[in-house]
Amino acid sequence: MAYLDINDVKPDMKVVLDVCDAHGNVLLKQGALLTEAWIDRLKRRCITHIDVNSEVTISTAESEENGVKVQAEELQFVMKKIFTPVLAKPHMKALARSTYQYLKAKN
Amino acid sequence: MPSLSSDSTFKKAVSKIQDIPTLPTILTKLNGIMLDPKTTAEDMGNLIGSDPSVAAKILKVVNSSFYGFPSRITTISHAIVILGFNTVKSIVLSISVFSAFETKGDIQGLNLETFWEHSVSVGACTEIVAKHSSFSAPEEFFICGLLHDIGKIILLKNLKEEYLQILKRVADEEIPLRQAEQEVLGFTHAEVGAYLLEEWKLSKTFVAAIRHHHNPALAGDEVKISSVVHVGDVMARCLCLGNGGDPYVPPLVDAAWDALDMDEEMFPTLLDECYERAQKSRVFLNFI
Repeated sequence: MAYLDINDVKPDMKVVLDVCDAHGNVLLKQGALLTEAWIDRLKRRCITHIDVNSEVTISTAESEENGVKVQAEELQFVMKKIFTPVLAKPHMKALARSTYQYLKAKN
Repeated sequence: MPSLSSDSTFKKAVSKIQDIPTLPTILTKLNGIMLDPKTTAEDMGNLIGSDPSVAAKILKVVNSSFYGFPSRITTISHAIVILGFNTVKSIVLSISVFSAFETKGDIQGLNLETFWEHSVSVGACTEIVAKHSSFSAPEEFFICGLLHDIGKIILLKNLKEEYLQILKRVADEEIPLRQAEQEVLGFTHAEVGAYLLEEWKLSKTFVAAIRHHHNPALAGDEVKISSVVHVGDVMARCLCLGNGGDPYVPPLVDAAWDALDMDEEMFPTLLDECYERAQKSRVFLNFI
């Protein structure tokens, strides 16, 4: 845990104590993950320092993106495996395409 | 077309099969009373109610999201009035199947839990395909999908050495399971499944649907229902719902395409509805 200058905090650091304005209103609750948008908002509310976990957690967005990427690659692999021998058969290319798009959207 | 049950290769192989599961007693009785046109929902309800375990399972299924009724159904008679004799019989058969066959562990490397997940999913997909093909009671066909691969379990249990050869050929030569079965045995799991359904005195339509689910062109008058099971199987394989032991999606055959008047534009809707129905059908997996 660290008490950091607002200019030194980074997205995806975890807020460890509620961030309050001068009137005691809670702006950001303990446990929240910082984002660029929240850092800007806190700056605009004249917050100068906050208590955060200084270790940058893996970005949710980034991990989701990576996850989706891995899932998409896995899905492509599985689709190739189960469809390749039959792709030349009537309608199977269209079915493979529709299935891939459906499962990709589902994931 | 001559029945494959009279084919000598098939007969010889079937004679080796010692372990043909018997039809659960309650279904034999159900078949009996359903032949009587005077049978009422109450008669059928009383018969099913005489087996509290079966009755409880039926109520669990009919009150699940699989049927999605707005209010709770508390008696079998009520379920029969709403769903009809054939659908309730299909549910009884579906839940009884799991006690007639092994459902846990592996047989010769085939994981039975994923096998049953595939079978239940094909049941669900078959219903959806039947609905799109304008069958008036598509839910009656769930059982055809559920049992479409049942011949594999019988073969795996009874012709172990031959089936090991088959699985090896599938892995080594990357050929479909049914092709390897045909080459090694001279027949496929589809014929064995049909043989079981004949032994169980199920309808000729269902027997034909199981027998020809890989090649509906041979189903004669039953081409449409065989095609429904065929496409249901293809949909479940595409969506990777469970594992029936075959590494590839079976190709859609022209006979099914024509019989069901299919169109490639149907695929996204069909896939979505099949997937959603299959998720709801998982209630049946509680009984394995």
